[in-house]
Amino acid sequence: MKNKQLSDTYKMLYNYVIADILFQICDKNDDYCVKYYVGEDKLPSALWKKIQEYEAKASANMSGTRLDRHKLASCICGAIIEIKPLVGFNGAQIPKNANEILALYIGLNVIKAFMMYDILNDVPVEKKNEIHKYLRNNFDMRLPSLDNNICDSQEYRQNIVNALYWSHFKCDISQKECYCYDIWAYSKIFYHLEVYNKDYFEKCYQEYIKTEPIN
Amino acid sequence: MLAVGNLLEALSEKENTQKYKDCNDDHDFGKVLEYYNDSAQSDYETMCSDGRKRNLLLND
Repeated sequence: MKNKQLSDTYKMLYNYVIADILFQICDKNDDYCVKYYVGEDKLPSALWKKIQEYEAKASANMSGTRLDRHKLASCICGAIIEIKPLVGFNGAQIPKNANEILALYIGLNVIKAFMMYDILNDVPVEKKNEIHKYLRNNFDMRLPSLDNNICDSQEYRQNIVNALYWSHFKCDISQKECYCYDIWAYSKIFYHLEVYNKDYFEKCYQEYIKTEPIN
Repeated sequence: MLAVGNLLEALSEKENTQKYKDCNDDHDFGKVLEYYNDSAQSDYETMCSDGRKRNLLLND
């Protein structure tokens, strides 16, 4: 599949979010590298096809045609778990759940993209790009910590990454990996994570406003 | 007895497991991503599994 067949939106998602994150991971740690091929397709095309499969499943139960941000994030998250872009370089050991961690944070960055778009709605045109850049580079989506804990003895991040990791398993009969990722359930998790981050995000924006007032 | 008003209300509603109608009010994802236009570096040289470093960015 050539790049021309990938949608413009996907190319932007890949270039601005996925490639950026993959680059940062591999740049920071030599143990990581990126799959060049997934089967017969290069990584971007393989991931595009898988995202489309997930979006088709999500859309099958919808009366509309456009998926909301939480379903989009969930579909992209599920697709990344299946495609597994991260591998150990030259046999290096990387965490077994590395791709689940990657999938979660790419999903969170999809939500963040929409949160930034929302906040720019009331911003003068000439300030939009500057504010977007500030929020992009300064706000990191958070997960609840043990301080917010009700009963867990383990961090939220570990719990949710475990849940993503256990959403697939090797079938004893077929000996193939079986994926049971629930698009709709994780869509609601992304919804709650957006709600969780709302105040922190607003605070980050207000920190910008203090130094660069908008008239 | 437990407080179950919300549960009873949910059960009394007409069954609606049909298609969602709630998904079209969000923004176009393409428009959301357009703001990143100035962000992409020219070079995301990254190690690939075949041992070669490549620029991850998609070109048209």
